[in-house]
Amino acid sequence: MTSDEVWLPTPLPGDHELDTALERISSGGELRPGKLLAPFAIDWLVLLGPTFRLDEVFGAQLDLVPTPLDPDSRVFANPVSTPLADSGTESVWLRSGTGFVGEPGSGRVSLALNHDDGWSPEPGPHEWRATVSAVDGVAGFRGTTQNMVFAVSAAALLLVSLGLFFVARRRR
Amino acid sequence: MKYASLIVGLALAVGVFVIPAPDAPEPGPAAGVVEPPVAVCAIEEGSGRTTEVVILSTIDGATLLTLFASGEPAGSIGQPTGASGSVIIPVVDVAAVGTVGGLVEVPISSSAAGVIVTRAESMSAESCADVPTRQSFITGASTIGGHAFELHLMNPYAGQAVVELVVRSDAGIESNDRFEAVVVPARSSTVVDFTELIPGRETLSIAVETVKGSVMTVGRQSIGHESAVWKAVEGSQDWFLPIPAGGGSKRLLIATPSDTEVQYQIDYYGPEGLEEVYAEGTLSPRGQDSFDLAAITEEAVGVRVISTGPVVPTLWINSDSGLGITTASAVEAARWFLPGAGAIVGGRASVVILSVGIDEAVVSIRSLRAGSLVRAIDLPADSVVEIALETADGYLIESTGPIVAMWVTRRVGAGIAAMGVPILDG
Repeated sequence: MTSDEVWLPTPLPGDHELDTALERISSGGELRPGKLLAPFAIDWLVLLGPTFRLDEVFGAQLDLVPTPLDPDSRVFANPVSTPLADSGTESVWLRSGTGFVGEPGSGRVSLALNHDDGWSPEPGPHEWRATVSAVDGVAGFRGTTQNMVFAVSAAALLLVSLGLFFVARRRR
Repeated sequence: MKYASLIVGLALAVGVFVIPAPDAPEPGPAAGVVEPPVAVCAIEEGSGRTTEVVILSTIDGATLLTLFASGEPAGSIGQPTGASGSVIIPVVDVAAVGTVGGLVEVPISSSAAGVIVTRAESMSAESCADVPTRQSFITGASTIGGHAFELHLMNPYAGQAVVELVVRSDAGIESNDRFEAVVVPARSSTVVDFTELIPGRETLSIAVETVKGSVMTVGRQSIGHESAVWKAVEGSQDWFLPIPAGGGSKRLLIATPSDTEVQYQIDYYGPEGLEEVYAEGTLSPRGQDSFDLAAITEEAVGVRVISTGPVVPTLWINSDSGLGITTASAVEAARWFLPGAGAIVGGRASVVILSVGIDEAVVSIRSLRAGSLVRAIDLPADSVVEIALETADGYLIESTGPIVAMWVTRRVGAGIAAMGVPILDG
């Protein structure tokens, strides 16, 4: 499924920030595009198709490293990217389910995700990003009741449909 | 049960037709093209040479000089331009390096950087390059006896660059595998020593064609103890060149990187005003013509070169006051920076201003240093003037009409000729 086959959610502040960063990069006015993309935890950039404006832009910048991984595309590594969950220490936080786990601490963990009060424990925004307390060593997410109802309803509808299918087959 | 499953099936079918497809993503308006406010400078340090990087700006803002060599930053230093809008950074304060590149980040696009290299018996200066081009061209080099020439290719960026050199000399197109696929590693410089590769050539023109990445290029000519540095630039069809007063060997070189014949005409701004079509001629493919300017007059004059294809005119001066080489300007502007003019201790600096407007211009000459001084002059249309400069980090020339400005510095046996940097915005 590609982005033109789905309904994208309403852009949030982080999306606008990323849009602004990409616009600045594509204008050629940014000498360090990797640093600009670092807060979004973007580790790789891949240019596809025929060469275009960004090929020229990435030929004159300081911190995205061309990496010949794929002969059909132009791949750039971003060595200055921040982790998706950044504790600000050497402690590494890794993805676990819909959240992250890491070493418990007294500080806060910054997530390169739009802020949402569904994050725990002790969620709080930092600019557009979500942050949580590192005290439990776990960052979890619980969606809104409405979204949970939609998800449960979709699962229930699927189960009902399957049930009806099998019951109908048996009756025949 | 049958009806229930039918209802669910119908609901899904209706959904397929009723629920609209998402709107196709629309690309936003194309981002405007902006050049980052940077300049790339050719640095020579050690072996008795001292390099200073001069940064001028229309505002008081932060600057950062980073030297790059062998794939890594060799050192960096940040300094503000201060209230005067100028700062001079000795390279020795940044790192102990040899022939390397330096990346200068300036606070705003209306800024300029230049490099001054001095040693006991010689000096050279050139403004730093700001925009890499796919093809650049340099002419005025020589490797005949006593002459040495090298090409300094600089790549401050994160990706490797590869260039092809198309070299034309008095012997014709030069063939040498060292001119093919010249690699300039990321954050590094590559120096091509033409004296070693093709000695004994009286004239050399070199087209630097970028195959991959981005490269800025300068040429470095030595004659005995004297030396000059000048940038490779993109060919153009319309050039302006103010020419300082003085005798000795003073030549105008016009060369083309084109594979086809190019016709040109020279308009001459002399003591009697503008003389259109003072000379004209045809350049053979990748050919070069030379004019002895000192034979015409020793006064300050100017020329405009108009051509049917890309050319690059270069001023070549070798006199008792030393060697100076600089490329003409492809633009006219109302404001010019002269980074390094007046900054060399013991040198006599002057600015040469060519007025190319149709009206008289009022030109102000502002020294950039603590305790800045401003002098204003009236400059008739189509005229040239050379004015002595005081000690400063550099100069800002502002005019009510379009002008072209270059500067020279002379001391016994050593000289500099350097085109100014036009301020095109900000």
